[in-house]
Amino acid sequence: MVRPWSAGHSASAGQSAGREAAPGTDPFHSAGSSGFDGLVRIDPDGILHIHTGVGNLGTYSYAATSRVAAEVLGYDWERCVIHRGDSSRHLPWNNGQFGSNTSFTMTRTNYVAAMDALTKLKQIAAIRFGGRADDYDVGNETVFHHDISGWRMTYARAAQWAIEMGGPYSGQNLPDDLNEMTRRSAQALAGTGLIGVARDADRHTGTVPALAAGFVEIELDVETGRVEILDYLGVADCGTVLHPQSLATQVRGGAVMGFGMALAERHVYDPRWGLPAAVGLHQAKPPTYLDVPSSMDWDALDVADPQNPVGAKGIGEPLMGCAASALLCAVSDALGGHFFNRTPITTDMIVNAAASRPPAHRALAVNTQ
Amino acid sequence: MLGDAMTGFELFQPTELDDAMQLLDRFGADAWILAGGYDSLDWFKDRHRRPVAVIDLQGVAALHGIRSSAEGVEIGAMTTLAEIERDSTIRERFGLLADSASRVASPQIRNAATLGGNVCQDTRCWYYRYGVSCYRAGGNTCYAAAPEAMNREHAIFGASRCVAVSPSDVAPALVALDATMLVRSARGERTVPAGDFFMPPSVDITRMTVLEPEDLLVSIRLPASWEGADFYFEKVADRDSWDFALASVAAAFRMQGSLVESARIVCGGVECVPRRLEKVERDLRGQSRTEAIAVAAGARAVEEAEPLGFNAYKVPLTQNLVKRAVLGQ
Repeated sequence: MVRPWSAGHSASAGQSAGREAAPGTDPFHSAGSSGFDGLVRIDPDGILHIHTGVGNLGTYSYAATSRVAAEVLGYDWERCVIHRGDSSRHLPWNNGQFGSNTSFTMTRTNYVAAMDALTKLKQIAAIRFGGRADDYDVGNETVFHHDISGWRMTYARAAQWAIEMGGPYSGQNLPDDLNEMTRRSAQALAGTGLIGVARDADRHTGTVPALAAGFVEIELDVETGRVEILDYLGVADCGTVLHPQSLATQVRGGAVMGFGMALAERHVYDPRWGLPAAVGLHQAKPPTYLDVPSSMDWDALDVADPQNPVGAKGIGEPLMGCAASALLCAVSDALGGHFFNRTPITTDMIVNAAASRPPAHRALAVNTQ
Repeated sequence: MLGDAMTGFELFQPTELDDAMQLLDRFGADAWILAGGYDSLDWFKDRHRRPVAVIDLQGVAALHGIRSSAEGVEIGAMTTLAEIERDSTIRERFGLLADSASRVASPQIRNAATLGGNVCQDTRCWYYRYGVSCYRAGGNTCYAAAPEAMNREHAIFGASRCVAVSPSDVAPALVALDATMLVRSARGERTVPAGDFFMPPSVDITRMTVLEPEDLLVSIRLPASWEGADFYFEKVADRDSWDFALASVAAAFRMQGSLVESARIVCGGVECVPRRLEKVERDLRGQSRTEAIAVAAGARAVEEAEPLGFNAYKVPLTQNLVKRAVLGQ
């Protein structure tokens, strides 16, 4: 739940400490692509196999995006198998999983592949029983005629028919517009079930905007430069929320990375000798668990994106940017409006600014100092 | 620099102190004493140190533990920082040491890192650690003192060719508590006051302590003289965890009523050795710990500061830490 944050803005109260709350700007990132391929297979036992190029960066988005295929076909999730990880598992040509593009892009590919399988299920039923494909519907992993109760078959039976019928139904004939990688994967699976395979050819227009806002409350010790993050709220505009728990982790994890960008992570080189100072994690200084609040709030707008079949779009980088910018704003506020115009703002810079001393760091010649 | 590829060495794991001493005597400068390993392994993996023999002291029971008596407390050099941080006797009698130990690195590191290792660790000057041939490494220049050098973490006091700082968080506390270091070698045992244990570069630029290659720090004794005093410890670093001090202060005050009877104030991270502020201590005697006195103490503390290109912030930072120590808040 989004709290009324404006009420939390308090001014400096102590002799040596300023407490400030500040919102971050809304960092934008293009968070979606299109034009990739989807590939699913229903085997003769009726199990749905979803082949995806999405990896796992800890957000489990390979599963969240694959659920779209299960939903289109009305599958019990327990009867679905995801194939991922390397090309020996016959994967389609997919966008990789990096930051913010996965959700939008691969829900679309899984959707078109599942729609292709759905169309083929109805066509097989029409061929076996009669009538038009449009006269059929699906439910409970069965394809059935709208009006004639006996004209129905399970997905397992339809997959067995697909193998017998061959051609496009079992992957012997493939669409011309598939990427070569998808084509080879589908060929490897041909004849083992009902194959749903398609290119996400109905491309989206414009950019897919991912937006995020961060709100942070800090206490800044002007005598030591120490910044304590007291509270944080991150809000994502990522379309329909696919997986709340995973999104919460992304909002918080992105914030931790943003805090590091804002306050600690330094990449320093000796300007004369070109030697790197940060050659280990303890020198690069990403935040640790003990540097961030143990609990951080999150929320999402949950407004469906019109260019995605399930309303999803990505979020990723903006969650870092909003946290970093909120934190930078809070530090500047706590210092009475002092702007450093760079990141990170390290302890030495804060101490110098608070003591009204000239800064030692130079203007953006290097990452810091 | 060839990272993550240590060279071969012979590993010894003695269980008796006498055996460890014999090994040190046998290998001399070719030996490396391994305590918790948090300083050693970086050196080994970067191949900047290539010992012939590594003597792992983990199994020497005599080097572990905290022993309390009326004269004070004796802490084995292999006692971990986590044990010190949690020990009820240390917390009650010498809370300054417990506080400083609790601010070292991270909880995981404190579970293995030792008191002896922490005070004997080498400096963290990033140029020196990178493996350049600086004065401290036997070369003929100090890269960190050059006009354009990145020396944010370096010394504002006591530079003598080298501008590296003492990295130990517990060292200032030990000096403030007037600790004594018990050192043993094949020639026998000797005690060294903590204030004399750390080596200024003006005396020997190639080592951080007075220990000779055949010496072993056996234990550290805290005299009862500062037991239960009014203590203050504060460390400033870029991160709350897993970071070395940009500056720190450890202080002990004996009060007579509202007046300071005696004080010991020591700063870390600002000089190659823990910097004891004897002039400030003298100024404070007989004074009350008011804001004005504290501000004056802070100003006095930095009178001799000579900052480099990027570390002038340590002047107000040290000033503020000393002020806060005097105020006790």
